[in-house]
Amino acid sequence: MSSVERCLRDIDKVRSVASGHEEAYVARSRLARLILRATNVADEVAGMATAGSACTGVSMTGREEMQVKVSQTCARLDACRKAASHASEPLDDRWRQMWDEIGSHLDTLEALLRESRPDLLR
Amino acid sequence: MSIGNAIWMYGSSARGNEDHLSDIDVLLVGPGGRSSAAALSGAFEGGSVAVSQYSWPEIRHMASYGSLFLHHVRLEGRVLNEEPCCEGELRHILDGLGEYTRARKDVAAFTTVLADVRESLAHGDVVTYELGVLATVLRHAAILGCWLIGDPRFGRVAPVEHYARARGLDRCAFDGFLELYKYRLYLDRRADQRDLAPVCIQGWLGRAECLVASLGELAG
Repeated sequence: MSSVERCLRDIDKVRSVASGHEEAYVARSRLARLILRATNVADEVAGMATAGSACTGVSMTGREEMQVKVSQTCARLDACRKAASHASEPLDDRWRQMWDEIGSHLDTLEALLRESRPDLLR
Repeated sequence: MSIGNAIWMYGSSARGNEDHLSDIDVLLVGPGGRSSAAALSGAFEGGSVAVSQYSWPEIRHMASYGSLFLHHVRLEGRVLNEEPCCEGELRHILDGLGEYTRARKDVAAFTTVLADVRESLAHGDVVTYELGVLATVLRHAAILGCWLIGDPRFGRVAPVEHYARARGLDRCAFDGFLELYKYRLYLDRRADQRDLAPVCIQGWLGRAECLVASLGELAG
């Protein structure tokens, strides 16, 4: 499984918490894992842009832009994660209240990841 | 309905056993704003402060199910600053706390998170993160376990050691928990990479699953 595919799977796992019963506690660790993996993908993409690696589908300039956009989306998700899930006690109500915003960022991130490494997607 | 801010300290600083890796844990109840920021900066010049902020309705909701976190604050917390309009209100809520009613839900969440870790390790790309998650789940599960056996502990390492001993788990297996917990501190930027010692993640995952299974028996 490629790094992009793992991120897409992580996105699905975060989404699945929205309809589950464990909610905030599980969402907190899943979101943090997703953010870490997506940031790694953004770094991979930036590394390829810097090295001038030839990949299918997206120009080098486009890759740099994607890296910035993925990083920005991850930063927004991380801000949501911190607001929704205090380390002291994550609250399911806050998680539910913030779900629309988090879901919107997940949609953005998914679209960016699918664009970023089309060569790695089956 | 209170609209003021109550600021309390809890955790190692309140217990008086803080070390160089400790944050100063602060609970802020209320809307926050300039007055609370001033009170916090005045109280902790130079210290690393971790603030958990909840609204009054959130605190009352947490009290309704006997929040373990609020029990922690009740047992160890101390007032730093309370605005006159809410003076004594948090103490009143804490004094009326009932039994914790979400143990089974917590056990289910711990189990799910450990399953996530096991699945993630199959890919092996974020091992440091997974070590931090394991440390967090083990500590939280042990805090709940200590609570359920009627001997509350809230420190960094003591709950794990105490719960393992009390439940007849292989206590020696949990002796190196502090080394594992440093990965959590590293993720929180409270420990440096050079503080980290190699640990066996599969071994700790197995111990965590064992501890949570034992917790499941207690929670019913």
